[in-house]
Amino acid sequence: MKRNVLLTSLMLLLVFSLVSVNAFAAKTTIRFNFFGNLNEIAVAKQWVKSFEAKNPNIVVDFESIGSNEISTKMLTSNAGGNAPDVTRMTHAYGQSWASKGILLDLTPFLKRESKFYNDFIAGPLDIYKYNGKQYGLPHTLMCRGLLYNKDLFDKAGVKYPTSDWKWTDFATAAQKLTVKQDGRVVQWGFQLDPTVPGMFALFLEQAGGQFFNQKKSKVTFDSPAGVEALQFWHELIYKYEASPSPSVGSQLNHEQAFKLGKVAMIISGPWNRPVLESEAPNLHYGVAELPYNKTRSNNYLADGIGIWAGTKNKAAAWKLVHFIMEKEQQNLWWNTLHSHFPVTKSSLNELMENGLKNDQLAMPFIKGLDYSKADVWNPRFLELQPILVRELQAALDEGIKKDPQKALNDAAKDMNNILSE
Amino acid sequence: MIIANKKTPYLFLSGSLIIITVFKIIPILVSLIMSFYKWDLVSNPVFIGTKNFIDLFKDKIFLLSVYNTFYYSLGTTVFSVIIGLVLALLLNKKWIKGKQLFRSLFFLPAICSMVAISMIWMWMFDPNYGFFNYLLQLVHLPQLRWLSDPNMAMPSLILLAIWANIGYNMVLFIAGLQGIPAHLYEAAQIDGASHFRQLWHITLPLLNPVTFFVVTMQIIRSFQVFSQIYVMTQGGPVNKTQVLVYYLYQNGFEWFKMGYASSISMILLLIVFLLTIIQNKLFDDKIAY
Repeated sequence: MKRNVLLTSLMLLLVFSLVSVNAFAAKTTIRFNFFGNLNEIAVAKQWVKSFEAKNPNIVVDFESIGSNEISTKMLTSNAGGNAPDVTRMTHAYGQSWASKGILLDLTPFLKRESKFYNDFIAGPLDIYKYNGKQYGLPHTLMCRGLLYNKDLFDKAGVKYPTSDWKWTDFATAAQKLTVKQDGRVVQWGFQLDPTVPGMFALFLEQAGGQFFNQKKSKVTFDSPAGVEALQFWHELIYKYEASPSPSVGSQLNHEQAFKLGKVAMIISGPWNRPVLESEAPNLHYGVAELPYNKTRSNNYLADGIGIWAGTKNKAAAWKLVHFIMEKEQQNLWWNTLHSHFPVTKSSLNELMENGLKNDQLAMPFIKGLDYSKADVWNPRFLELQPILVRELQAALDEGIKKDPQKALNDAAKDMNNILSE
Repeated sequence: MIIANKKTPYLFLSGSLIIITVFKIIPILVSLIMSFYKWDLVSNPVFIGTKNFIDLFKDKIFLLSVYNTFYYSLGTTVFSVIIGLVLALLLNKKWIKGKQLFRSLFFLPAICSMVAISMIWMWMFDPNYGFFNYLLQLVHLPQLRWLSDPNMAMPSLILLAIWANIGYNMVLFIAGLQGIPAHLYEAAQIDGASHFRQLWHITLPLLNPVTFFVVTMQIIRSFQVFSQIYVMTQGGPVNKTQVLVYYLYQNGFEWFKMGYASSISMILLLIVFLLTIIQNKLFDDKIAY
């Protein structure tokens, strides 16, 4: 009996090794780690298929994981010496991973292909730069805009937002769009999302402030402009009574609330479009450029692609990254998903010529890209984020109402402690 | 032949010993060592002595999470043990009908996944459409914001924990009650002892070992609270539900400060260990039978 088991396993082992040797004798296998919704995964699989057809001696193992787990997966598998060769990542992780030495410096590859590199829109490249080197390439370009529900505007007799709206125009409109029944709000004019530091950075910069100092060694939002921005949020909630407080708002995410027609305006990105098209096909909505105060401001958001520093197949991995950034793949993403813009000039120009410039749901975002910056991203972003969120919440909560200046001072102090470590 | 070989018992024990060593003892030791290092999972660990522990006691959020954990554990333990005991006493009575059904119903939460429970309770806590606010509305009481109110969030979580734990405690108490010899009650009845005196002088003292076990386990479980925080509040609003294990998780797996997270786990181990010793002493003296 024992001998039989032993013999069978030996046979199996032999068969497997023969098969694998035969099948992959001359082939390189690389692992491609991806996160995204089902439609995005379908596009990425399409990329892999065309890549394999074009490069018959490279096999791509496609792996996908939730966006919340991607960091844990990369860091633990890196520690175990077995991370995916190529990975998709979000803007929040790029510099953090680069600073930890998980990502391969792509600068040498890019130096050899200056035409390819120069085709990228310059701003979003900064998201994946660390110490002046390029550790990843952005592949989906976004910024924020004002999404508004046309039906609710018509019902309230309020004119649609225009690109010259200032904070006060925005706040008065939001007030008119808030509907109460029996003392309870059934429809909000606007819903703040104070859980995203980038959202605060927008208002801060519109008020003339800066999130970081020049060297990014300190946060500088505890300035008069920061107080003005936070004060304006406070007024939206308590003076205009046009936005739910964070605690009330936390019950229903602002994008969900917009989809359900419970809020007339939100500040969000182009990624809502496919969701709204499939889940709320009867929602008539428009997009406008962000309202502003002293200056226009917007922030680049861009998921990126990077290579694991420990990869044994640098050449094959770079080939895949390069392939993903090519015009056909960039265009395929936009044409299939309508969610994120291409990140190369050639691809964006071609799409513009082919009708994107007449796309009213896309153009306000594309205009926003002109005055976008990539300056909230930082290697310690993940640690800094909860501190700012906590203090913003304390300033805006109905039960706490912490003084805005004090809240920003406290946040800046704790965040600067981390930055000075 | 009976003890053919002195090694035989150890052979039988080896299975569980190996599992405990590999999955419990070694990780605990590694964690202890790691708590003296700075390690981000990527670069080489750097020995920094007791710096992690010194930093911990300067860390406002850590101190707050210790306070919150004690608050949660006290609330959960006191209520879930007392209510569990009362339920056990009731469901151990001969005259109650449908005992099995009630026991199963009360025990049900103990076998449910905490994540599923948390999702459902999140709906029940919803300020606009939730079940609890609907009940309050029915009796014309002011509505509460439950989890989103900084001052109500922790009491809400305690409420959930009490509900989830009483069944488990009840079953342990029932087992304890059934182990008390009936002749003691008969003797007491003959002597004319009231129900209350029987409870006070027979049931509770004889139940002491079980009570000790229930309280200890309940405290340990409360100190380890994680799932509901992870699902429902993420430590918010404004850190009011930040507890030790969640803070440990955040440091370890969101910010990848493995050394710092290990030092938190050592403090947690120490707290639970001390509490267990204290309880052991308290209960030890009274078990006289």
